[in-house]
Amino acid sequence: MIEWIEDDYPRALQRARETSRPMMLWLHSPT
Amino acid sequence: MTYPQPEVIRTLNEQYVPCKLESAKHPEIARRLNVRWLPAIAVIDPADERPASLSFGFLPPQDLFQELAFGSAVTAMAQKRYDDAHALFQKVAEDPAADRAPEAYYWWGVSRYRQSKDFKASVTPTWGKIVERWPGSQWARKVGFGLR
Repeated sequence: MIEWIEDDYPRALQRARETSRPMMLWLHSPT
Repeated sequence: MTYPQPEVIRTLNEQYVPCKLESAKHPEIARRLNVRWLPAIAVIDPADERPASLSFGFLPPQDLFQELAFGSAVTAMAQKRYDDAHALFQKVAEDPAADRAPEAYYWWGVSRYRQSKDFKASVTPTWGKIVERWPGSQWARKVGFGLR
């Protein structure tokens, strides 16, 4: 399964910087 | 969103940091990215948080791969990792099914110029491909000025 970081942009950004990977951001409507 | 394909899962987990946000809960991010429809898929450069690519609507896996590759190429160019950038732009540009192909050729030329500072030598091979393959397109008209 995809290891999403959900609704925590700062954590995803920090993780992207730590790993030097781009962030793939998926913005969606309420589910 | 569901992408059950193992290749998609592996690519996202190993090469990106996948982040899922409910847009209404993050209006400042949606505004900054100029998001006007959902779902929106963006590749974000972690260095400066700029969107390297932005796409609206659901994408089948092959289109998603091209979108991700294009975004990664722009990110690599911005970070001056030109060899990586050129390989990724080439991957998109030479995929006959990639809608981003002419755009990838365009930016591939820009990236070559940023590396070499030699405008004509940088853009002629890649922009020439645009004129050859998409002669009636806006991309061909755009690069026509640079190739004169």
